[in-house]
Amino acid sequence: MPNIVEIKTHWETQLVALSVLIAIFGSYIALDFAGRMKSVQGLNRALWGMGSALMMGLAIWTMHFVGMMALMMPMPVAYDERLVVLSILAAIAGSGIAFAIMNRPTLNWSHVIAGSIAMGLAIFVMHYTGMASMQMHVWIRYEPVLFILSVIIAIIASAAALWITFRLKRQESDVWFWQKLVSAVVMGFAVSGMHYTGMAAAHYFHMENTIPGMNIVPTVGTFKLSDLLITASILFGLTLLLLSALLTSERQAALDSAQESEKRFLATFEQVATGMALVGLQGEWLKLNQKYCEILGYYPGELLGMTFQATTYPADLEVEMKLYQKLLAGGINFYKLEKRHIRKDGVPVWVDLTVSLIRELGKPLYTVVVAEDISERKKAQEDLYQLNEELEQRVRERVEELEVLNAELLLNEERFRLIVESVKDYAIMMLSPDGTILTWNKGAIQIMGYTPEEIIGQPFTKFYPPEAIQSRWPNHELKIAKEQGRFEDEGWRVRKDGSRFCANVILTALYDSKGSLIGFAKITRDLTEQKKAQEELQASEQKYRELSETLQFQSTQLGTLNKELEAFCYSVSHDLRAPLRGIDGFSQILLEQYNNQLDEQGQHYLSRVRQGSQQMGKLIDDMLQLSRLTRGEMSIQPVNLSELAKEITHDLQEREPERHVEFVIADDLMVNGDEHLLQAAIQNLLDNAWKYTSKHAQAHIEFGVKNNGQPTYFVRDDGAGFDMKYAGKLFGAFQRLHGNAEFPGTGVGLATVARIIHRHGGEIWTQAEIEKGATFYFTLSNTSRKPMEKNSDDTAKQGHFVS
Amino acid sequence: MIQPNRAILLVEDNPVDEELTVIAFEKSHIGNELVIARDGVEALDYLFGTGAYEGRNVQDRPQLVLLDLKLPKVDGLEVLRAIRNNELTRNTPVVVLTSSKEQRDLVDAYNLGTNAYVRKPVDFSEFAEAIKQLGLFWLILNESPELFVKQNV
Repeated sequence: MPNIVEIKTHWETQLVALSVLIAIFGSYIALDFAGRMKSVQGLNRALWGMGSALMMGLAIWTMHFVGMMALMMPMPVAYDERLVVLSILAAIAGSGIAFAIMNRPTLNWSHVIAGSIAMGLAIFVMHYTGMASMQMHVWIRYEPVLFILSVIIAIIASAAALWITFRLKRQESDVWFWQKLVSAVVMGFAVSGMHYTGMAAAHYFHMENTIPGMNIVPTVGTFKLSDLLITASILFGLTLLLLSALLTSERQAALDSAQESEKRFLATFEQVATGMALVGLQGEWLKLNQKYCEILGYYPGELLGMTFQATTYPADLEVEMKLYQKLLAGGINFYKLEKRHIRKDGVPVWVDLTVSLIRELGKPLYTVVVAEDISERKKAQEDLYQLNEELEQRVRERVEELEVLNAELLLNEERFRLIVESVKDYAIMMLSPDGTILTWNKGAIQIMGYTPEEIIGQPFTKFYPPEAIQSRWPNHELKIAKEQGRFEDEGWRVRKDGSRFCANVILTALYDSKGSLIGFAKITRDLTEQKKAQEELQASEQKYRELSETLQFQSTQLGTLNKELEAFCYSVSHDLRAPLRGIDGFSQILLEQYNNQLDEQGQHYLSRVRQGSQQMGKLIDDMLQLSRLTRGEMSIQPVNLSELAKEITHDLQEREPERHVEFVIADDLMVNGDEHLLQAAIQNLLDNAWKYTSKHAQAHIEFGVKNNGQPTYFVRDDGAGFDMKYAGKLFGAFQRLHGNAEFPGTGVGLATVARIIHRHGGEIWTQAEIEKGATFYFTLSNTSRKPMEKNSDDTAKQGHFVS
Repeated sequence: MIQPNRAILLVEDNPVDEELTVIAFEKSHIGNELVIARDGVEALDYLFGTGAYEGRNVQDRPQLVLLDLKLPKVDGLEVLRAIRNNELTRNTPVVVLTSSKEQRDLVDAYNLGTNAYVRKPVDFSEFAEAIKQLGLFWLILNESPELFVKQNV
């Protein structure tokens, strides 16, 4: 029985190093290819995917067989060719599965685990299939721990490499290279680490001396270049890897620029102020830029796994879905829409949306959404709309107000027009700026004689006389009115019938609110009546002036005359009496001292001389009194007529105590007047009453008042009376109704009384009957009377004086 | 009591009145010397020893002056004013004896300081009575301060 002996092996170090480098290099190519899948679509993506799987498979396989070359065995080894091919296919397929799993937009850990298991298995299966393809008389036994460890190394290292490749974000160009290199080294470690761990787990045994040509010392590689198939395969794999590397480096520049532009695109995509997103065909968010996240109010990661439908305002969804279906169906290439998103906090946000479909080889891939936040604009629009509404409301209200005002204005205008039209004393008309008559009122009809139909539309020069028109006066009037706003004129105008009248004309310029002349208001008055009245007034004024002058003259003359009269009266009182005194005096002296020398007849004559002179003296005195009472100032003050009357009657009784006269005097007859004059009047009246009752043995004299609206004072006696037909003569100076022999007197007394009463503004009249007595009534002016003071003297009660 | 040697100055321009006045004085038995001045100038000359009366003892003042108002040359009111304005004659009794009954004349005469104002009546018996009363009062009943002054001199 031959002994079973473990075969000693030996490793060719250079070849080991070569195998590791091949693993790393191949991994680099494969991972680079796989990385490119992310940025391309459709067929390209599939091609790159297949390329990367092929490269990875070749890398694993080539590394394996170069590593086998490094294993020195004491005998040659043959390979089962079918198993060699199978091992290649296994490596390629496993890598492809791993890349397919890993190559997706969203990658989570389960994908990474699945991918790395697939990759690890690819390496593992290829290795042990390759081991199994060896044909030699050797038994191979594996140490279980290292065997399992080899699998774990394969899986974990693959996971690291794949994670670096697919999960890490693409960095700057330089970094990216190192990133790829690291992942390639890690992957290379996964491949070679698995291989050599697996080799370390293997122990080879053979039956002693059963193998021909077997050396004690291992000098022959397990794999020889002379093995055509293996050699061809290795050469093919290396060539392919080199070509790929070449292709890779050629494409690197283009790729770099593409990456550069992609990078720029990404930067733009991220930083652009417009919301941008990629959305899957089911509506799922694939990628959103910062702005879009801001619009929606989510953190970037939160939206992945959600759909745009879920973030669309329900009311706007139906419209968008129709467009979206149409877009997917190929009816349109893109659509635009203003819609509302629902923000994370539930608030609707208006966006302006542009959605484009991205296809590859006619197959829809995803959509690109560009969203602009238009909530400000919408708000502004809303505000604008609101404002517009308010404005319109206000306009409507204002219009209504204006309509009301307009109606009032029209009413006012109508009233005003009616007023103007109905004015009859003034011709009121409107003129156009060139002087054409536009309106015509009743006054105009009356003053000018034209009817409105005849005159409206005619020039206003129609009213001017030819000479005025010739001197262009009407135009001058308009010019002045236009310049100064107003023009007033008086002059002759012509009526329709050709007659002329003197008119006062006022022209007022009328301007609209912009200040341009719209015409003139013309008001014409017929001054004929006024002129006539004025002339009459002037005439009467003239007359008055003349009269006044005459009066003034007469008054002056009167004053002079009065002065002369005064002087005359003074003369009379002074000088006229002196001779009388002589006549009387010497007559008496004659009578006294030469009595015995005169006979009775002579004495009688002398006494006649004396009587005459004394009568004349009395006459002079009365005349002087009359004259004095007529002249001079009156001093008006309260006068008690009753008291005056009582004093006078008392004196009369004293003078002739033998007479029997009953006096009845009313008490407290208070008047306002000149006491001196009133005393004279009462004296004269009572003297008369006393005198004309002297023939009666019994007499009754009364002084009292009757009130017929105005106090009427009276002095009544029951004496001789007189015939009323002579009553008119009674108050004339020197008029007497009785002879001097019957009743002595000068005929001045009643004239004096009348003067005094008249000077007090009163009236005097009389009522008499022969032998029945006479009553003299008089009044005093109302204006001269003042409230009477009641005399409190008890003794002044009405009394009767009987003698 | 009667001082017969004191004169009465009668200022009167009307000869009729002068004579009637003289007769009235005689009838009243008034024996005083009656000096007649026929106008105002003459009266003043007498009183103040000027003109025709140059050298007259002006201390020998009349006991009474009877003064008419309406006088030639200087009228009675002027004479009255002069009498009252002179120390010598300030206290001499003056009675205005006139036909005028004018209020104005009365007021003026009293304002200038006349002692009495008498209106000559037309009736001679009344006139004579008035003169008698005047003489009785002013020459006999009335006592004037100047009389004693005169006596002391």
